[in-house]
Amino acid sequence: MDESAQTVRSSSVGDGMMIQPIGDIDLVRSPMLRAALASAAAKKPSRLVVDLSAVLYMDSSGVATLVEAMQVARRNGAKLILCGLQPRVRSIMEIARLDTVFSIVDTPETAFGE
Amino acid sequence: MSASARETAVDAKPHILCDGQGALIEISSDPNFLAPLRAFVTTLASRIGFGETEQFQVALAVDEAVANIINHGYERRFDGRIWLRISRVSEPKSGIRVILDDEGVQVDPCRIKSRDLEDVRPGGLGVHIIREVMDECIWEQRPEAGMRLTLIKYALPTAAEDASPNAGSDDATGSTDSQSAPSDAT
Repeated sequence: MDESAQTVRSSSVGDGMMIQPIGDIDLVRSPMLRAALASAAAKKPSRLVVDLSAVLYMDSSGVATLVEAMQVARRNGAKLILCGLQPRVRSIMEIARLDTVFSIVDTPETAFGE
Repeated sequence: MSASARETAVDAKPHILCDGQGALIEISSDPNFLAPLRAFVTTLASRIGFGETEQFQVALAVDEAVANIINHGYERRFDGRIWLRISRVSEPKSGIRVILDDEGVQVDPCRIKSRDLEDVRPGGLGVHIIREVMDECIWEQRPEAGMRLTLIKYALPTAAEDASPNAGSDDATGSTDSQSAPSDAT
């Protein structure tokens, strides 16, 4: 099993895709998330849900990865939704003033139900 | 970077020296050191008396600072050296000081700015985050080479300290706060 598969899970949900990174997202691991998001976006889903419930820490490299994914989704006419934000991840999104830029909900069920 | 050079950099062990003044850490500019560094800084911040949120903020600032050194100071080379000196401060308030030294690219400190957050785009958030979570941030060019970043965060006063008529007196544990410029790490 390659390292990216161990740290980022991808799955299809209807006509959407769900990405579930696991563990800290920092300068070492954000490239894996970036690759997984790019791979998911290439499938042209109607919505891309990023479940961050298993991410306890994220730095600006992880935030940048999500911003890039959001911009790609918009260009593709898709919706990117974040869910399951843990307190520290929510905190960095607030520090970066991105908590009102991203669509953020509590659970994947809510994300796919919107 | 060649594969053999990268192997050398990754295998390089960090050097850690702890004494009554704090901790001195030397690492290579390898992102694989970020996670253990965060854990170490979190523990030190906890020992100084920071709460969990503040511990996270200090670790985040150090993470962002080291990442900036790796990305910009050493231009993503793994063979640069980074020194961190972590110590307690007691004046004007109790807190933590982290001094980061490198030998990478020198920049004019006046050019180190947070970018406009209204411009939503990937990257460029590190300086902003550091400034948001730390109370003092000072970038300066080191005379011999590279940059020095000094970060200070003051602990929030506890309810007992707020109520005490002697609030603001020295830490009873005898913490140190160097009044002179810290010596070079190298």
